[in-house]
Amino acid sequence: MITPSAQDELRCVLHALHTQVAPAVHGTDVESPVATLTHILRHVSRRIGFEGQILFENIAALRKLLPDLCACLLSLDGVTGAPEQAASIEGALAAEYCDANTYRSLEIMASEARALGEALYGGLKVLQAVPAERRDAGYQRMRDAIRRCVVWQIEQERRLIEPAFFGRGPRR
Amino acid sequence: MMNFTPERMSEYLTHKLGLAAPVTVADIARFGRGSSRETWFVRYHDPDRPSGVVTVVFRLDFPAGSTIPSPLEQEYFIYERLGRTDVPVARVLWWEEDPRWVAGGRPFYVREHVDGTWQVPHFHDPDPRYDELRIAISKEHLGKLARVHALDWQGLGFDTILPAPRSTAECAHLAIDTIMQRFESLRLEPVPIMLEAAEWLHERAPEAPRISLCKGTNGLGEEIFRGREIIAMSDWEEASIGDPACDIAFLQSFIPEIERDGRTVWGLGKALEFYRSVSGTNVTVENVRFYKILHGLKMGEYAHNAGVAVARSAEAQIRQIWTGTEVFFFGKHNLAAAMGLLEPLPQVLWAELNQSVEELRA
Repeated sequence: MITPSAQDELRCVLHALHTQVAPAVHGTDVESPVATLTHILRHVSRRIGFEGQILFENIAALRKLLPDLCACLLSLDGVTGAPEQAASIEGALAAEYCDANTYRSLEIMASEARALGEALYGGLKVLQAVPAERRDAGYQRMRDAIRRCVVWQIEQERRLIEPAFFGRGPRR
Repeated sequence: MMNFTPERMSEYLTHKLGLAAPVTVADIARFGRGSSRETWFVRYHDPDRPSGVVTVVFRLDFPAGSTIPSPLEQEYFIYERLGRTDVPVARVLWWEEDPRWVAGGRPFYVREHVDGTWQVPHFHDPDPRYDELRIAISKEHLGKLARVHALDWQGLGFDTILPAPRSTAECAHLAIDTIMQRFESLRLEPVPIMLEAAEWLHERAPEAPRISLCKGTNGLGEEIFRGREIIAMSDWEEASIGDPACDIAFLQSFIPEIERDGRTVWGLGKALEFYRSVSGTNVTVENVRFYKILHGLKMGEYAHNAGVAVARSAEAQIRQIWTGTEVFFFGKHNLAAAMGLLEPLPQVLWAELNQSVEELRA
């Protein structure tokens, strides 16, 4: 371990930006990017602290939802793309994103979340093309479950955005 | 990349203007405020005009690409065609793609500089004595938008570069599909709220009162004033062909809600009445509301495009990081809120999002 931590370093950099750099710059051309830089560094700090856990939970949520989506798609006889998308979902669920001896870095987790998210996205596209007369209660339950997941993802993203930006002044 | 040093600029302008004596470049300044594309102001002494210092504007994509995913050639085309109409715009001078002057795959175009300001002093001052100013500015802007909307977009060839709806019923559907096609072609991550919202919007797509050329981003910060008159309309990179309600929905700040003694002095309803009186077109509040929601879809598209630029190049603008993160979040949240899936973000947060250091100082 190195002390100070990455978070400690960022906190000091931000403090220096606020107390030394920002007061010394004059003119919109410089003040504007300095303001943006300050927000972005705060956002990076937030991501270092929380993005791993959010990705972990997102992966778990998608792994819970996707088998149901797969089953829903397989039940849609004759709907274009449904069997192929079901196979894509199975592939995304079965893929190995990291071997047992490798640390699950943020990049690896992001890659897994993206692959599972693509499976959901593709499945949603197929569901949206289902004709109105084929949209039964099971179909609607699946759509509702996807929407809940989508809303949850936006709420999680807010955890990374709000403390970094809201109430912190002009961004540009 | 065009090297914006006085020496290189002098060499270029001397060549381009076909002059025997070298052009003296007085000043080169990058416009710090522009967030969609790179903009440079170049002042030079024109030997053919001994009394005159000429200012021209160079426009080019950022090294990592423009934030708005429409090509620079399209912007050039729009300015060139609008120059043939009564819509006030800066006159375009030339397009440059000669490899001797354009390195790094960034062509540029040059247009005349219009001497004015985007700022309207006291526009945000809540003192009632500025109500008259606010309303006058609002009417001036709506009048200029009406001019844009009245243009013969087919005769001017705008449908050769912009998707054009075949009917008034198709306007909203085409607007949604155009955004989604561009989004799909650029996206690096799955964003299911975009799919959900596109479907939701299709189910509620209104018929347009007419088919018009629409400016896209417009209002405060996008138009150049001299006094109370708009002498140039800028920032055409989001132009489209469709429902004029789109422009009223995308309009920034210039339709202030003013209430005095419980009476509405100005606001969207009165602005639409005024617009109808000058354009003859009945844009409804419902259509404006629809396009305000569609704006969230557009935000998603351009904000992710900015994020993609950052993911692909270290040369991306720092502002593109912000657009690709916080602005993208606002777009997604806005769509979910419009669909009734989330509580809307408070207006105060939107106001803060749109505030610049310049405006805060003013």
